[in-house]
Amino acid sequence: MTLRKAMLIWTLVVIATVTLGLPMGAWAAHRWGCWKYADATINWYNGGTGDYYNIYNEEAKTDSNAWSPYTDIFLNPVSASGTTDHANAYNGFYGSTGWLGLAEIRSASGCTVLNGRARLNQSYLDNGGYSRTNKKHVACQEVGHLFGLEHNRGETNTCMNDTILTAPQPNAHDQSLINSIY
Amino acid sequence: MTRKTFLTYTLIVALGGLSVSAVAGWRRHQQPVGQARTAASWKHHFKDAKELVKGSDAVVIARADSVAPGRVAHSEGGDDSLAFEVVNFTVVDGLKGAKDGSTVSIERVSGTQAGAVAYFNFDGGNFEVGGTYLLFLKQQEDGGPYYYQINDQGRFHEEGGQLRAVDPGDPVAALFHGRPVAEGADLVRKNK
Repeated sequence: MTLRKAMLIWTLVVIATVTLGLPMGAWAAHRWGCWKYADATINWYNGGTGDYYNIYNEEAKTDSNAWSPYTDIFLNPVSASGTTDHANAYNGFYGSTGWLGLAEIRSASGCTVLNGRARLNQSYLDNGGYSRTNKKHVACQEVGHLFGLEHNRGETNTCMNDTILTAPQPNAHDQSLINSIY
Repeated sequence: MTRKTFLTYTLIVALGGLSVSAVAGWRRHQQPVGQARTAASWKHHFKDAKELVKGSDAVVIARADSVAPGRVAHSEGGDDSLAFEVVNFTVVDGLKGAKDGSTVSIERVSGTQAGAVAYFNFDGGNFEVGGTYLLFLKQQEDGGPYYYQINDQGRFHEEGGQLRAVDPGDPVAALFHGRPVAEGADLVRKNK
């Protein structure tokens, strides 16, 4: 084979592999920035009240496909909120804000989350228009953000889809993405 | 060149190309400066411009005049607080639900929480006083005196005469993103 012919084939190979590599970049597209906790063991403060306490627990730890058992993340329950390696979860009547739930990286060191907060807005969620499944979907999503996941509007079987409220669990894609992060 | 040499070099080139593109994709997610630190599950989502206009109580091109501290909400358990601010705008072009020259006030989560900077940029972040925006607004459902920004599809900052979306990747926001302000206003009127 001549060197010229080999060069031509290699050029085609580079183009093909770079193109093939793009889906790998897209796979990372459901990462939320570069946020992650220091490691897979995260202090979990459930500051929920009433049934929201149960909802947070179910989505974080006790459902079979909750974040903690379904992925490599291990949530270590703590009795008070914290600011060092903590995911803190709350609910409240935050008013007519336009949002059902909110995830906030309150403090971080570089990309490492120190204090993450999830909030559920009862001003909407308790007005009769939202089922328990809907509430669980929002809770699952806000907690999922804290672990480093972005919205995912391409699939309808994940709570990370913010255009639906009927899939109160992470899916296999979320699982593999979380496990790759931690 | 022998066949074996050729295949070996081809494998090296292929792995190199794959690695470069994968790393390029991954590195986009390794930049903490300026990235979003909050994310919301919005109450409203719209599939097209007509829905967005119809779902809004007011659509305005308006200038941000001032920002004032607002209420503080607390979690039901009492151990979390969330401060709000009120941003006052003068309507430059009332496209729906507000008259030219009137004042509209928007309540949003504050960029200052308990005296410290907070990064509530899920809605586009702090408004720039003196800046001009195309805004899709909803009146507070609880009878409150303010509007809220309907979602991240409903806010555009005018920069260099063009509209800049909060999330240009959103298909509805993309309809307005990059257009001159006058064209954006026309698009709203066409979809009323």
